[in-house]
Amino acid sequence: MRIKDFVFARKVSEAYSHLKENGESAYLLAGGTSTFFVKSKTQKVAIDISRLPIKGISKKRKTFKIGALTTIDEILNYKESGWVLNKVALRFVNQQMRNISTIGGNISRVFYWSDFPVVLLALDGKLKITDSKTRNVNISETFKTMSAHKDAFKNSILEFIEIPQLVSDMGFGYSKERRTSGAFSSATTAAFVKINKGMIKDARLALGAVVPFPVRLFDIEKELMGKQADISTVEKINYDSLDKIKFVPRENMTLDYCRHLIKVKIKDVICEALNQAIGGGK
Amino acid sequence: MKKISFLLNGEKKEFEIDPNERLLGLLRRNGYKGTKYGCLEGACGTCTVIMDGKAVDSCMVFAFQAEGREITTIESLDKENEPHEIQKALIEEGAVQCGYCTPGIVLSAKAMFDENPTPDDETIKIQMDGNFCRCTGYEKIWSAMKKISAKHRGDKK
Repeated sequence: MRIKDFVFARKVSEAYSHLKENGESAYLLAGGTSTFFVKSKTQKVAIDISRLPIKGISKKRKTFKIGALTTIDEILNYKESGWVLNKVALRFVNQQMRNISTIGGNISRVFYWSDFPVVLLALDGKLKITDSKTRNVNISETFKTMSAHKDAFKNSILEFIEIPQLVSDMGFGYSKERRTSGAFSSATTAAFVKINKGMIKDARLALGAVVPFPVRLFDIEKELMGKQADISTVEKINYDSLDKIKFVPRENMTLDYCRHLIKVKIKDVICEALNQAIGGGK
Repeated sequence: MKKISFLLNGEKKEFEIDPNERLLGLLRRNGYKGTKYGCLEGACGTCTVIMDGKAVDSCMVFAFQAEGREITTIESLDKENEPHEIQKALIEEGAVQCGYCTPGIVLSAKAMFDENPTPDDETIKIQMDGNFCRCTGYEKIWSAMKKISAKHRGDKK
């Protein structure tokens, strides 16, 4: 993709005006790393939004509000009880990329290897988006109509992401398979569970990298609901529903290996989430 | 061509750039050749510069993104017969062989120590994970970083 011009926006309203003005040529950019992977025949006008005041992490009641321009490095180094995105940030490419890439960019242009979309599906993230007006949307709803490599929020600006603070009885599990520490993910899985009196009250599972676009695993989630929060439940999971998923094996994996790997990874992340939930959400 | 300006090694500079140009290209065509060409895809770290205090790959940053920011290149440490403590430690530990990756490593380390003068071993490994070295095998680079951290802590060993 080629950049033919650039403008700077210092307010969300200014960025939105540039978006409208440049139409199909407009390309929002903060860290800018995705431009390497976006294919476009038309030359773009880059709208540099890196100076917009939508960065940083704050805690409000039992949720974390994350500015779309928060870098992965800031996510890694944020310290607060019930904060789990540092696990994801730690496995993000390398320090130079963590310093410049933003969580908003990772969600706005979803590639098969993108880490945060999978995690936010599992955590049921909420998004604040602005175009002619500001609205809050659920990430699962947004992703239903999205496809890979395209601008997720065309003609609008993602401002904030909201995720739950993990408190006692909640747990999170995350796994990213890759060939080397800086490589793209070849299989990403994430799980969230909430337990009550030893039973699974809520479960969300998400899968990425081995599918064209991140997906929730609703059938497996249903199987977990209301069951005992222990390893015996995980051992009994029926994976037949995975047959409905169109897998895209990466890194020369065979389809059989890919399916097997995903079963193992699903077990791992559920166990990790259950352990955390049983241990008190620490 | 469009004009941009930023602080380069402490001096305000103005440049004419092509909107599609990367910071790496801009620096090198203006004589800052200590910033090396490497993978050109943000993996190897040999083109590392410091932007507003953070190590970044200049091959992944458009030149216009530097507008109004502060950029530090390896040339900022160019003082004859007076190597920076990071350069000194790398030499003492035998962490330099072909030397191609060294400017990037020095700048990643500088950004790390400027932010935290006493990083622990784990932090050093995380902060330095964006720089490839195909000669030394990393152990000597890490031991140079540990040595500096220990010195800053005031350890006698």
